[in-house]
Amino acid sequence: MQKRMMCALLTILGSSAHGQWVNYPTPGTPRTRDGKPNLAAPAPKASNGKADLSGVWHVQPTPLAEQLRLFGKDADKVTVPGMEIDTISKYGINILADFKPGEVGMLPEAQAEFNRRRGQSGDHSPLAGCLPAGIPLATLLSEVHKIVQTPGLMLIMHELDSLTRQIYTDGRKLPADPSPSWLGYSAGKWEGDTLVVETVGFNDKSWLDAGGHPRSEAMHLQERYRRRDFGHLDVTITVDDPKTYTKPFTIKVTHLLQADSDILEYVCGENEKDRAHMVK
Amino acid sequence: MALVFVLAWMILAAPHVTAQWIKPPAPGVPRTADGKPNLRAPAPRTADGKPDLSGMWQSKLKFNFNLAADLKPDSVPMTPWGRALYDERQANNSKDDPEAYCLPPGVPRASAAGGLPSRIIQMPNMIVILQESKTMFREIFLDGRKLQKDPNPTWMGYSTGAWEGDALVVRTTGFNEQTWLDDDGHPHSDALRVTERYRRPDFGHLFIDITIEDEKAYSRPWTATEDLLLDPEGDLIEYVCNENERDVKHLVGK
Repeated sequence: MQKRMMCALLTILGSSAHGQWVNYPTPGTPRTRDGKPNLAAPAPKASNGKADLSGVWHVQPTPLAEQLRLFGKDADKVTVPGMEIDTISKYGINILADFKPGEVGMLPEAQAEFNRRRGQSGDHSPLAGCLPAGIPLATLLSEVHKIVQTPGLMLIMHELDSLTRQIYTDGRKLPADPSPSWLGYSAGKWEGDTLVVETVGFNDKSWLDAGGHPRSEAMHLQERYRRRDFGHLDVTITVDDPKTYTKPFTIKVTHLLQADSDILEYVCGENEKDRAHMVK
Repeated sequence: MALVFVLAWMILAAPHVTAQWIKPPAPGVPRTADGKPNLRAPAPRTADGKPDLSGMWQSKLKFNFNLAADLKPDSVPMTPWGRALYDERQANNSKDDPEAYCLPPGVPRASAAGGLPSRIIQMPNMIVILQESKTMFREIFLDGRKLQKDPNPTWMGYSTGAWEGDALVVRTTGFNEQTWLDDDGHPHSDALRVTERYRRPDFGHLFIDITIEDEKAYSRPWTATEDLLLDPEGDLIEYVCNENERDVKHLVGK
């Protein structure tokens, strides 16, 4: 089980590597006396008085010891530079990592699909075929994401294949019968300093994690974004998918500001060499 | 020749059909007496007085086929290196066009990629262009930063912009050699510099004057102008090129 998950992860991580980090001092960044970004400074405000979530963010990785405890002592054998297992969140490997086996159950069809994927050495992982990572997975791996907040619309630009997500904050309602899609259709509204984003309209093709936890078109995702201070963005994510899971479940992640940095171009389809090696 | 391109295009375009169009509310759209969007109304301006280029813009497919579509023959001065590459692509019916392989369009082709719409989001220090084609983004920095001297070669390059009167002048460098300027096969090298002048003369129209400078591929700079039409009530639809891709095996050369 653990080994299979690591195989899937290797497959997913194999085709990409980080280039140099852009080092551009970002205007508006509060700094300590020695000139370094002050990550403990208060969160900035947008011109409309709301919290400003804009910035380049990377998920706070799960420490190596915890990853080894969860996924086995060989879990750090993945050695793609910049994509080591302690650069990603445990939820990127297993979104149910916090729960005891069976605590969040799967309906029979979903369980069968999960078992099928686990038996497959990851060769049908969408990411391995340069398909979208889906959410929240695209924000739980080694690649950063950039939030650009404008009045009425928030963008999340993922380094992972330059995939872009629009979150409407102009007061619109979610569509009643959306076209199923990889990223879904998102609308957000402010509750105090917390942006609450509801997303529907998913397809059933995306995996919730590298381990293959499925989702259905009935999935409703809620994300609650709160920028605790300048350098930390707390996100509480609730997955409610009654056609896949016996009850809704919630994970909490923190994203760390990558001050004075930026996203780089990532083109999954360039020089793709994995698929030919994926057998079984 | 034109027929070959149209056939090639049908193959390229076949697997992605635009889904139903979402009609979000479109506040701030000037309207004529009959309630229709008034595309001839004055262009909007931002709080700092600059023209606001923001909006959903529909590109023209002909520029994805051929950036020089509106230019006279012989107005694209290719070097022997550039000509040889162009001729080879023509002889092969453009079968190796990176677009067919779901790779990024590069610049300037991004503004006509797939003949699909894009959304411009203008902020004081930055413009983001969301392309429906491949659900990708492009960033243009307006914060006064300089272009890098020795950038990482990339598909989309690195773009900075500055206002010259009511025109936004965007300069882009840092390209790899892998993109094509169009399906026709106009080539470039990694020495390519692209200058785009964005002009919004009224509410509904956007013009981009595109100047190509690349000594390896062209003996002198040349300029093409693309025109885009506002889609005031349109929105982007998710486009995943790699999903159910069936084209490549049908693309054969000579």
